[in-house]
Amino acid sequence: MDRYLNSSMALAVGLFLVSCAGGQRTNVRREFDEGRYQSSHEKLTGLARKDGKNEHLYLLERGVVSLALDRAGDAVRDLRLARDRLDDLAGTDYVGWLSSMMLDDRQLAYQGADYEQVLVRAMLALADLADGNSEDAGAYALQVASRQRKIIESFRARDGSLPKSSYRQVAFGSYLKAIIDEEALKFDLAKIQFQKVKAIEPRFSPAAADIKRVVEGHHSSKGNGVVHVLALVGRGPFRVEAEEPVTRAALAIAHYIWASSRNRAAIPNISRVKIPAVAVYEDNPTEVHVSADASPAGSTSLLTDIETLALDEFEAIREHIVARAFLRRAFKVTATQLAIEAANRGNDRRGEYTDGDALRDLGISAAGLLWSALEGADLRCWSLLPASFQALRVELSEGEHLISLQAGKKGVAAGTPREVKVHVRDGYNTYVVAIFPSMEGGACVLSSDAAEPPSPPADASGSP
Amino acid sequence: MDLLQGNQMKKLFSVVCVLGTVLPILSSCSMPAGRIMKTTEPDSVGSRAAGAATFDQLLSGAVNKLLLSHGAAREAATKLSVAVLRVENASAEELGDWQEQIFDKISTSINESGRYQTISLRYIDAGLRESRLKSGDLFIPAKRRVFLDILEAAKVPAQVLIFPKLTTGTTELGPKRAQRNYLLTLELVDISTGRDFRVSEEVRKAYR
Repeated sequence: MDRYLNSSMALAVGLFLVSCAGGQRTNVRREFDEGRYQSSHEKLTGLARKDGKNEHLYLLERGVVSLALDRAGDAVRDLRLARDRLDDLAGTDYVGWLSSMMLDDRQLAYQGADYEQVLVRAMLALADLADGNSEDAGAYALQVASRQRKIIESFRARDGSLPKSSYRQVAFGSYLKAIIDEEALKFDLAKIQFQKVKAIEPRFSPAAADIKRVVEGHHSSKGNGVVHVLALVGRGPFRVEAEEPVTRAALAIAHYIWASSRNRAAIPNISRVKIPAVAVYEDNPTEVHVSADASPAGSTSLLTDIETLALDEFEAIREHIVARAFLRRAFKVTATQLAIEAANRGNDRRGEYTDGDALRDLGISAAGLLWSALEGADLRCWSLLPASFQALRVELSEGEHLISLQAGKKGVAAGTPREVKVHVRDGYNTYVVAIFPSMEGGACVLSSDAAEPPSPPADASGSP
Repeated sequence: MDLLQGNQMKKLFSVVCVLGTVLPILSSCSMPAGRIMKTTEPDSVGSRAAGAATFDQLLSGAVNKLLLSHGAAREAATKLSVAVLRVENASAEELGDWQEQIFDKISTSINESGRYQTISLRYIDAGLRESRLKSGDLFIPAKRRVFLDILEAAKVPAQVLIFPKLTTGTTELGPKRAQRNYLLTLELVDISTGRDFRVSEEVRKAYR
């Protein structure tokens, strides 16, 4: 009896430790928002070293921090490693995705949300443009759409439908490819990409003028170049734990998998499960106001709404997420029941049920309950993504120009302006990358062709 | 019999314990490993992107064709000085660390022909940076002159320019199958004669 009690306790302690292992991530979001990039970078480096299984998650985060630190080359390296690892871990098919998660998602290497797998390519293209020393940005931009296509096509439900076909497309990749092609005077290719941008994101108002310009076949007037302000605006979506009722649709999905994998239809009765839901920040800036040499040049326009992307993605596969959580819980309940059944087989034959047996069953049940209770939703996510990608095109004369940027909300500029002095070359693009996570907090601006290095981050002087 | 049942029960309980604690940890753990490849071993074929075997085939094919076509047409008493520009990547895959390697392989192959001598990439990068030009500008005679003047001032005059360009064409064959054709084009501009040569090498690759 004592042995069973000890075993039950050992199981409980083991499960507790396993459940806690995935939840020890330090939140670097706050430091990043405050502009303490160096400190964020160091923390993420430490976390990546400690938690090798999820190194790619920290590399995703560190990629954004490296960009903020004006180390675009480092950002490309981190993001590329993370992308490759995410590709390796990506689920193979629909049934595999459902049945591989019988235990607890938090114990598995981070697989990344679908939108994160797409946006890592967009971020790579952006970092590569900011770096200014590579020719790979166009390739990364093309990968945005191709990855999304693959994600949609590889997730086929039992009725043959493609639940992910309702996913919103990412216009940012097409836009980056368009401006790269336009600079290379490949106007026919640029037109195709600008048309995609217009179709995917009708709210991007400059699309019509962009198409008109490339149809007419000129990049900029003689003696002028173009400054493209590419802005990462606001704080991106994050995960919260939600108690979700098991709907009839989710139950039908779960029944199908349960019956096919266990060869029996009896399934435990579970009414609610914990799932990772998507949440967004309410106080994000809505645009970035830009001025060139102290003259207003306009404000950035929305190209990709990452919040909507994440929310739509969640809604599209919500029932499947619930079914998966349900299956996981059912597996645990059934495993506990089987253990008790097996333990009582001897008692049934003997026809007796002692106090010791009762205590043993209680121990197994308690361990099973703890196993289920310790289960939590996997709240990991690429937390340093922005809420949106935005862009503004400014045509300027050849030479040096001072570009000033300021976060804004619904047309009103606020917060401290950030400045960068850039070189503009006749007939070429200059890229200015702006990161504005909040209205008043830390922000940074960097350029592919800065005439002077931008001001250092808030904690640069305090860093070792 | 009771003892037998008891043993079975213990086994089952142990299995549940082990599955519940160990499986989640093991499911995504893998030990990194590496080894030195033998010189006789063939290059690895990339599962996601071009990879070593593809680039080697593209480079050796294109450079050999270039040396045959230009080398046969142009005889010089001394070695011609060649500036190989960075690869223009118009493909659907990033070059990443292949960018420098492709330059080095082209450069080495051209040097080994005995008729040419390549200029270090450092001089070429510095020349472009100093002149604030991009490689595409070098097809405009006036801008090319500015670039060449900088190289001459650095005592590394260029007599030939080579522009490598990589393109891809992808045929999707379903969610998990695709064919991708890789085309490496080397465009050579002979500054003294004004003539230019273009050679290409293609490698087709199937992905699943």
